[in-house]
Amino acid sequence: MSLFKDFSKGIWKENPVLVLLLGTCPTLAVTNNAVNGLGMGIATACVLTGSNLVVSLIKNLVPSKIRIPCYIVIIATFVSVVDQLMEAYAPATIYNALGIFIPLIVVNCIVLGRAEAFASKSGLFRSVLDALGMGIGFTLALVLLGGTREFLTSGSLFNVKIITAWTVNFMLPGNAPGAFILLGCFLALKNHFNFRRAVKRGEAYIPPQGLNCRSCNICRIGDD
Amino acid sequence: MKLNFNKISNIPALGIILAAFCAVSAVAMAYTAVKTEKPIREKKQQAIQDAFKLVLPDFNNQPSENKIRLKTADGADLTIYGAVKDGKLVGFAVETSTNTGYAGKIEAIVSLHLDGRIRSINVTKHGETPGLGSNICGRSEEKTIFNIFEKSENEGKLPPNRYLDWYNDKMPGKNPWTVKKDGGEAEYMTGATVTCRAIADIANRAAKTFQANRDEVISALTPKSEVTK
Repeated sequence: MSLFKDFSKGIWKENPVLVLLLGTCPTLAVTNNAVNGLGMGIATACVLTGSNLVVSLIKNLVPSKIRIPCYIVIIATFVSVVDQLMEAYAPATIYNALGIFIPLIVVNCIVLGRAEAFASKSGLFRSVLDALGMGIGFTLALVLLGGTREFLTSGSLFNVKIITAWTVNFMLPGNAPGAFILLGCFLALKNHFNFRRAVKRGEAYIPPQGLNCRSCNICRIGDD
Repeated sequence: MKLNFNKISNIPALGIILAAFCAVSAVAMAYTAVKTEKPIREKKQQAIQDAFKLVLPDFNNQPSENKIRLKTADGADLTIYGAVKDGKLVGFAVETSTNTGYAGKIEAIVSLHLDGRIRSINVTKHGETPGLGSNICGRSEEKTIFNIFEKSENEGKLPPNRYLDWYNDKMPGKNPWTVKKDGGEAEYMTGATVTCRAIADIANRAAKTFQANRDEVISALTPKSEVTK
């Protein structure tokens, strides 16, 4: 796989939210407006890049029996550092809104998933490219979901009212049930595109390698 | 012989390696904690000071350190902060809360003039229904697509809210404030009556408690150098 593919697969083909369906908790919980989605996405991308970089650097120093605890220690360290840096330097509104979800990046499956599935087997440069791609894909998906929810709730985007006559908020998309419904719609759309493209080429649709259950190793993450 | 880390399966060795990883990350975290401690503390203080600046008249002391704790008539805690300019009291901020909100506790800072009239009510924390009760509690200026690049005329001032602003410059009378639906005069919104009653409760608590303890509060919050003169 070429270097460009390492980077770009996270944005569309293996998007962590729309295809891998990893990290659904922050996806649904913080995206009630576009700004929160952007903040959460950037924070996760930073942690992901840091952890992929370090995991790929030390992959030959970690005994395979204790690799998962080691990865978790690395990820937790990066999350604590990002949390403190954000508290010190990010705008207070964003930090307050993301609050509890920053420490929860530790258990975000994307970070551990990429460390185990990619960074522990690939070189430094490719791991960083993979993390950047996945981080950007995650951020874009969160902004898309957050923007849609914000617009459907109050007619505004990035806290700027687009439709000024919209005075009474429509509560459904702003709350958790609406988040599930909208995420479902996005997944259906994404699959629809993939199927149509396959049909145009006259083939049956096959999910990308590594995404069907047989070759995915997320479930077997503790084995050695 | 080259040591292959991947194949190590001796448990004490594994433990030592894991401990080494933990030690390195502990150092990294400690370093960031030390580096960010000062900015975080300054930011928190600045946030408190900014919040006081919005609700109180011009002052040059630290209201968060010039405070007195009181009890309301029903035994709840209440803190009054004094704003001082050039050694003179200029206003009060009353930190209070009520449990009568639609979704539990509503916390607020009510700023008072020297004579006990309400200057403004500012809700600091609430869990009211977004879009209904939250409209009563929230003060936020809405940016629209049309004024996105213009500077707001209310820059540095409190954004208006007709339900909270109704109490502005009102002196607490004999009877407590109640909303129009209950026979009083305060503004209320259909569908969010409970929240409006809670706001009236907050206004009553703050103003009445101040009235009842006025002398004690003023003597406690006036700067000491002024008293001795």
